[in-house]
Parts: sequence; C-alpha cells; structure tokens
Amino acid sequence: MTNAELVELFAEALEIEASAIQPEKEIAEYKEWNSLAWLTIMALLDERYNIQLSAADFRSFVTVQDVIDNITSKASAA
Amino acid sequence: MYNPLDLSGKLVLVTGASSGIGRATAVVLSRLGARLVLAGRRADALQETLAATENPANHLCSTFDLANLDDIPKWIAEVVNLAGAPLDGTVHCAGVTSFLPLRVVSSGNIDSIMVPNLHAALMLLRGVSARNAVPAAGASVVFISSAAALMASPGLSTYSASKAALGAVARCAAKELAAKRVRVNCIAPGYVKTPMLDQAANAFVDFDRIEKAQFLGFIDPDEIGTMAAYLLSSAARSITGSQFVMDGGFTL
Repeated sequence: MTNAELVELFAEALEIEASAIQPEKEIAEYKEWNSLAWLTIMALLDERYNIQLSAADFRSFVTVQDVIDNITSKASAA
Repeated sequence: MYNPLDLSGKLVLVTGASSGIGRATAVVLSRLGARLVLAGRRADALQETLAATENPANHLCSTFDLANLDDIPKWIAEVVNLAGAPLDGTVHCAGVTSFLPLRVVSSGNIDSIMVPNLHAALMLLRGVSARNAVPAAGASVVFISSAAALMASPGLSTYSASKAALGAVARCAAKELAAKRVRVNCIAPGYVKTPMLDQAANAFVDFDRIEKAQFLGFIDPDEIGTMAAYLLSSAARSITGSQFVMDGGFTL
C-alpha cells in the first residue's frame, strides 16, 4: 500500500479532506482524530489489509507519520 | 449432599467450546456431571478443552463451522446420532465481537457479526428443537448475549443489535417451543476475562473507565458457566424467555 492510500484511509475515517492530513503533524492536532476515528481506522485496516494495531502501537504514536510507518512496516513484514 | 445444579445424566451441546466462555462453561458443566458435546471450529482447541473437563472420556468433540447455516440442523441430527441420545441442553457460546463504526458498515462486515451471533442461534434452535433432538422431558437452551444489548456504545451498533436480538429470539422461542417443553433463556455478561477481552484491549478500549463502571470487577468465565448450569438444571424449570444480566454493575 502507498502512503497516499493510507492518508486517504485516515481521511475517510476522520471524515475530512485528504489534503488536510499532513504526516508531520501530531495526531493530537486533529480534533476529529478521536476514539471513534481510531476504531474506524482499525476496522478499515483489518478489512482492507488484514493489519491489526495493538495497545502498544497506540502508545507509541505521536505524529501521523508514526502511524504510517507502523502500518507500512507491518504490511511489508506480512 | 443436596445439589440443585446436579446435571448427572444430561447431554449438553456447548458451541464455542474452543475458548473463553465456551471452554469455561464446558468445564463447569462437566464438574456437575453433564455429558458434553464440545463444538467449535478448531479440533486442537476442542481437545484442549476436553482435557480440562472432568471425565473427558465421557464427552464428545464435534468440529463444525456455524457459518454453514443451512447445514446446522443436519449437523445437530448427526450429533444426536453420534451421542446416541437427544440433547437435554444447548449452550450457544460461539460468537464474535467487533467495533464497526457506522461510517464503515457494509453488508459483508454486518454479516460477519450477525451470522455467528444471531443467524447461527436461530438455526441451532431449529436443529435442537427438531423432533428427534428433544427428549420427552424437554430441554433447555441458553444463549450467551451481552450487556452491550442494554447499552449505548459508539461503534458497537451491529454487535449490540446481534446480542439484543437474542433476547427477542429467546422470548419468542420460549412460547413457540413450550409444547415441546423447551426452555430458552439468555445470559448477558459484561466484561469477562477471556481472549475476546484481550482482543478488545487492542481496540482502543478504555479499561480504566470500564473498571470504574464494572465496580464488582472483571468477570471470571466460570461464573457464566455456573449460570448456564443453573438454567440447564431442573432448578430453573420455571424459567423461560428470560435474560440474566451478569455485568458486575456496569449497566447500573
């Protein structure tokens, strides 16, 4: 999967435009990035890529790029 | 010694016996003297459950995927044939949980929850209430529902619906199957210490909030098994179409 596809996925989950998602920004800067958005991201990751995020993963995320890196490394490990 | 939960001589089918509530229920029922048919998708996991039961030589394992809905009645007939006796009880513990926010529901992922949780329950009722499957003295069916059926949890509308529906099924089936003396009841647990809870731990669930709300603490799965035993026993012969909430206080 590409970074652009992941950004699209996040945008879909947050219900905002993909252009509004900047990888260098902190997740905390997005008011839409709440627990429901996370649940949506997890449902989409599971459904589309068979990828799961753990509690330890969540604790490690600060920026959007952190999430992208985590997911892409899981995808290439699979 | 007087034991109102004595299940000696009763043949009971437990679905979802591979793990969690199903496994714990099977162990409890075996300790109370029931003869079991342990059902699940994974033969190796069923063997582990069997090894944990009392009198393992007394029980049978049957590998079956409840997603094969239309095959369920035939499978039940085969189970009765294999066991050489009709089923005195059934505990349907098989089920899945999944957060499915409304913004991503699809027919596929709705079915992935509804099929094992609700559709299979209906097909099981058809199978276990068939003429040759029910003893003359009647039978008891127990569905494992969920306290989610009574709550308002964002992201859990499909799962909660599947479990709430079991309450409606139990009420209707209790009347429909009364002539055959088949009782149908639900247990609605809160958060139970099982692999399914570990799965939820990965799904951004706020455990501090849960521990505060479920003020009697996380539930041991054998507590659910003991309630199932009660509902299967003759001590519960006047109970049908009911729902028993075991939620550690969560829904209060």
